[in-house]
Amino acid sequence: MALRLKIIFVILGVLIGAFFSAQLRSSAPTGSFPTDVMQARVDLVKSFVAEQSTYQSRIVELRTAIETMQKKNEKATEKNSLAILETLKEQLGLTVLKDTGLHIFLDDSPSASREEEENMTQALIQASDLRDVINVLRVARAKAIAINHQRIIASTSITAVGNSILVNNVPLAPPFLITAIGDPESLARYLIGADMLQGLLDRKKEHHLTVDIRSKDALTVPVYSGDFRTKFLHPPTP
Amino acid sequence: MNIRHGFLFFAAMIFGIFVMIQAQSFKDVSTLIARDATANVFREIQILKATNENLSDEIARLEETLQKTSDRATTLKTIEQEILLNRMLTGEIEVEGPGVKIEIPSKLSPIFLVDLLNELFNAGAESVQINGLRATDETHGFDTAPSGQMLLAGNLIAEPFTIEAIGDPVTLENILIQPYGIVERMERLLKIDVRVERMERIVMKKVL
Repeated sequence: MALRLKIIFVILGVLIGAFFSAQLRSSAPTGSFPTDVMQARVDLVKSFVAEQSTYQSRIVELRTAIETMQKKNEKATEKNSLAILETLKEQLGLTVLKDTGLHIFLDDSPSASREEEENMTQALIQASDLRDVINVLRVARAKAIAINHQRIIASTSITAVGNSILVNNVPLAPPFLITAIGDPESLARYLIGADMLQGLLDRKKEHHLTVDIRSKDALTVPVYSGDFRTKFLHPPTP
Repeated sequence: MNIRHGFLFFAAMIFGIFVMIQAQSFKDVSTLIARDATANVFREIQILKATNENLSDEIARLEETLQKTSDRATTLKTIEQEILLNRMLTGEIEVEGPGVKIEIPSKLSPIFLVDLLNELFNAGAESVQINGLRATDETHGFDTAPSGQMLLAGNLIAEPFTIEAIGDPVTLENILIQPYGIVERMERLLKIDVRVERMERIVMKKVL
């Protein structure tokens, strides 16, 4: 009886101690306040995304208009300059590219939900997965790459904020369609054999993620519709 | 209940508190190991706001360029300016500017460099080079050679790794050294010292 009483006291003590510690760390508010705040956040994100989309369309429109005007004033310019500019724009992702290549389709586990899952669960496609696939495609010398119609350039960042993924600071939702232009066989060989992607392929088996690679004859990678930062960058001072 | 039971209860309570603290530290470690940091969800709003401001600035710049391009007299000059800007971005010419220098003394897996460059560009880096080789659209992609050496766009690069980024030195440094940031992650996981230094002038040679 005495032993049983001691056991009860020990268990109660551990539970109360753990509960007390958890309560001290918890900052959960009461009432509907967090729901209202989260709804306001969702609405704000939606309005920023809509504004971003408008800005990106305007940027593409202006770049096209500038190109048209430059060609129209061809007599006032040197043809050679326009040809040089065109080559540079191709390298920077400022031209549409159409050719053969691969579609790589990535999606979360059918049983997982980004709204409910705790951050960074293995059953969701992570920003790091996208970065690794892009890295392997670059190693494989893909000529152009896009994720859900967002052109990937040298300074593209792919990051996670909560369970959202931002590519070029544009929020993207799964499924993720990566378009890569290049020799399909060579690109696929690099992807399948890449050590860097073994973790993703293991999670595909374990958590039923979708990782699907398809060769395609006619693919289009859109232009980069973001900005270039050159506030600190300049040619060397003589 | 006697005093002995009271002490037992108190000791058990302290033990319960320690168990919770330990459980929290496991969560902290898994947060550190994870390649994508757990950012405050309101950070998304900050990022979108800043991005839209940059896009708005780009629109203003392009509108000015369009206006100048419409005038025949200034068309050639605007094309030349655009060529110069694009040459800087593609690595066709040498560039310079303030920024940060990161020194990593040991071997590491390509994923760390992939994540480090991602973090730098996310923080606003305008150009990045690793061991003197610029990461551009044409020269990008980390891999490991059969010998175990690191490759960047097919070029061998060996430790120690010096990564230089041109951009706002204060912003770049703060992002790199933040708690649970990429530098802390590398230091804890690889048991190395990573040095981050602000630089007044970084020179990046053209890509050959």
